[in-house]
Amino acid sequence: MNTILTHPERRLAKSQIVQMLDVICQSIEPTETQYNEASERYKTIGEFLAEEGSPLHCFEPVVYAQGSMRIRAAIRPMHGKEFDVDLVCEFKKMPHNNPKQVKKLVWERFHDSDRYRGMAVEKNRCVQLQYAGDFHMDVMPCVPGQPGWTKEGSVWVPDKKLDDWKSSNPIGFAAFVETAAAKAPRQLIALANRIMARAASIEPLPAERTFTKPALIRIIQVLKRHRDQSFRTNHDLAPISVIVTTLATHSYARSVSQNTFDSVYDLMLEVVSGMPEFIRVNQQTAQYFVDNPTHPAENFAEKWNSNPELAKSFFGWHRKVVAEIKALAEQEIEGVDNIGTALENSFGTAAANQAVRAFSASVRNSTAVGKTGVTAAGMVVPSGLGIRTVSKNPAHNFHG
Amino acid sequence: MRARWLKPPPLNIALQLMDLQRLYPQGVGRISHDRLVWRGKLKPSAFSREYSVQIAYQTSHFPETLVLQPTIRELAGDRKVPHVFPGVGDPLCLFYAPAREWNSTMLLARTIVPWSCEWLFHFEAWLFTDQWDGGGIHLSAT
Repeated sequence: MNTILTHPERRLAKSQIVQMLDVICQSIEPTETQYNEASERYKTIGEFLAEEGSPLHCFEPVVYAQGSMRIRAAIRPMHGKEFDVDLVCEFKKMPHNNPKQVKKLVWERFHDSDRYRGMAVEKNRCVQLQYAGDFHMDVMPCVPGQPGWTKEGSVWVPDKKLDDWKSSNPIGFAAFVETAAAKAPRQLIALANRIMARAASIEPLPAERTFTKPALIRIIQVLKRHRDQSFRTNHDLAPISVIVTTLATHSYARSVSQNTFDSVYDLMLEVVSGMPEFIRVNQQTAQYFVDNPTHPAENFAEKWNSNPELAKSFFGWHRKVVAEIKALAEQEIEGVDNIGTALENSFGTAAANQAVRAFSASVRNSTAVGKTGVTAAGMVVPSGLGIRTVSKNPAHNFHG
Repeated sequence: MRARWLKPPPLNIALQLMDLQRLYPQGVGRISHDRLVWRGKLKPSAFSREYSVQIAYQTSHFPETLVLQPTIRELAGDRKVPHVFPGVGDPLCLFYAPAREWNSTMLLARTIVPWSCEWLFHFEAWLFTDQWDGGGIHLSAT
């Protein structure tokens, strides 16, 4: 997809799609204030668990964020405005060999407190604190993995259903995503007066053609939101976030290291299209594997092998999301209003509305400062993108 | 009326037509009885429809801009469309006349046409959002 000869107007259209998807992500993710509030709250929870006089004090609990909150890819669920904040409460000293007892310690600490009693709900692997209107804080107790026995950063988590310890690596998993996300996509720039690609230089994509957050994080958010929208009536069949995140991260890491891109849209399409290539299939048993990158013995897709519907629904959803992202830029959709409808089908009404409003407002704002022109075909384009215009668009006021 | 005397004269409409044809070669225009009628196809964004637009202009009047195809009505249905004048074919309100945003010394091809494109773009967004985000002065009926 090294489309160095891409028409600048096609490139503009792709960057406009990226801008709209970026607005969609912004509209469904926690604001900076909410991120700060969440971290204030979990610090308070951490202090409450660890403070002197707490029965947990001697086991040295440390509370930190995991999951999408840690990698800053959190999105709001489709219904309701509460974000799920996944927290780890790691005991540096082993409180008990029995997983039930460890979970119980945390549960009792919350339950004995006037402040948290009414908010605490026990779940399979965590105690959930429900802050009405803002967050659910899922506090997952765990103990450190044995050095040399498990991977760096590994922990053991009490699992109620299994009635046993379950291995996890929240810090390692976040680092897997963050390391990949830190690799910025590059573009191939053809130098003037030279012909072949070897005369081209490789440079980072300019800001106006990328997302306002690392592209991988935005791609993960786009995928998760699309999944939530697609499975809003049959949530049980939705591919789980950790599978979406793992496959997107592998695919992103491969794309940015192997290819250059003319737009972040092209990158996104390649990353999303490539996801299934990171699912291993055992040809003899026809079993699926999505390996936990930080704990190879764990198969995130374990349930697909006992319930084939889950695998089927992943592949069905994947085809759908690829087709819908493709359709946005293929210009078969006529009318900004119909782009809005397409975004609405993929990502929900409110998010699509914000995206189209922001698109309209961005053209207005550029025009107000004299930074747009029109082409001979009547297209309103920002100046400075190498698109040939025939007239500036002078500032004025629509009236009436 | 010394001040009026000093006002620069309006641009010749033949010059207006020449400029329109030079900038938008896909358009067609003619002048009869001192009235210029120009029709062109405008596609305001990569995602937009192609609209057939007509600008009619007589030197002593403000230009009138109509969207011929597809019509505003067939797209908007019964909704009240912002920034159009009352009248046959929903003429577009592209500028604020009291502030002299447009006058007869200005070239249509470099004002009215770009503004029409911009209007059509914001109109398509409005069709979806029901909010006009293209800016302008809104005179509410109070």
